[in-house]
Amino acid sequence: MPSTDFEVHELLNISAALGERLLKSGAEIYRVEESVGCLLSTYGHPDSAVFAIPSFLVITIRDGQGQALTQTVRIRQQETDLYRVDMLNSLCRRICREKPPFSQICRQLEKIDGIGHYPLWLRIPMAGIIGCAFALFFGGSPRDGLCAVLSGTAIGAAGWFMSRFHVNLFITDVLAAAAATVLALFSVTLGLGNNADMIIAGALMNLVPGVALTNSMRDVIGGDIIAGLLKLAEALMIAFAIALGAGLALTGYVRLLEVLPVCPG
Amino acid sequence: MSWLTVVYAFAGCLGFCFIFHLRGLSCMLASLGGALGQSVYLLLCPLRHEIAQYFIAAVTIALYAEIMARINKKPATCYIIISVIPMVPGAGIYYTMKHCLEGSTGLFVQSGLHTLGIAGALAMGILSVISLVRLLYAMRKRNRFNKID
Repeated sequence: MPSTDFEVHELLNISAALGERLLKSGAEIYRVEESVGCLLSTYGHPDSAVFAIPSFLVITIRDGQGQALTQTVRIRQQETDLYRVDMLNSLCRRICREKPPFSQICRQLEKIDGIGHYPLWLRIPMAGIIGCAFALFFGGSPRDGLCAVLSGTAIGAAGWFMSRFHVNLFITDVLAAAAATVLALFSVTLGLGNNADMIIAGALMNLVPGVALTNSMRDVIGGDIIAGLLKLAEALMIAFAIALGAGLALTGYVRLLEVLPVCPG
Repeated sequence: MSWLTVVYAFAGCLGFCFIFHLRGLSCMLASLGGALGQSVYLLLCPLRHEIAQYFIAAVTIALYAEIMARINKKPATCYIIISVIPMVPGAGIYYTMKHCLEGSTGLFVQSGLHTLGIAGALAMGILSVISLVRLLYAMRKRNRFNKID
């Protein structure tokens, strides 16, 4: 079926929109490539080429005259949103099954865009709860757990604060780890917490690169070695950032205590 | 005392559901996966081999995630990303850094290698389950194809 130019352009736009949303929500690379490829072959372009890495997506299809049409998408900011990945995935399954008109797909995509994130007032204290849970998990006392709520919340707040300046992940994580460490050490100095190590380790679980590591494994298995290596590098970078931030704060705090007059108790 | 860590793992996972914007019943299932992983880890304590414990826990979590994904028609990522978090060696990274700062090279190398070993065990556990699932799918697809022929 030779499709008109307009249809080809529309198809290219829609598949790029779908792929971009998937990548932005933190889907695995093979899912992005398979979803876009499935969309294209459903509408009669099985010989198209799709390539994705976490920050970049390129799609090439041929129009009725055999001319190649390419669209590239650069993804700058990515936030893991598993609910959105799920919605986009089911939308794609439906498209490949029912082949709905383009206008309907656009409406569905807009509907998915309209799904809000969890509000900040919920997410920042949640970082505190995570800190508390993992401080107890690592064997801290209940008082350590309470201090970890503070430290964890500091990480959440630091992440939110830095995200407004669009700086890179490294600096954000260094600062967040340092803030959490200083708060934990301070609460132990005040006598609120018993064991600074448990508090800090619990709070730092907020930053630990579990997602990057898991996703990189899935990408490597899917055959996307480049994407897997990129994610692995990201995981290592985050680990170094955590170590650097917490290390700076630890040494800085100890030196500060040496300079300042020793507080009673 | 140590079995309380299962509850803490569950709570921690539930917190991460909010960070990664997971909604509805999936939150509970993903957090249960985290608790399951920790339970398996504790059950295997008699093995006296931490890397093996982590590996088997990771395999269990990945299997659980794949099964839940098939039942609920959702991507397995939704479950696995959250369930595996309690296993990630966050404390290991921290202690490695601390030993490095203290200048105790022996402890630094020891905890660093230990942390790397755990991360590798997790990765290998997840990796082997996903490969197995993919292999099964590919075989089933081929069988169906042959029948049509």
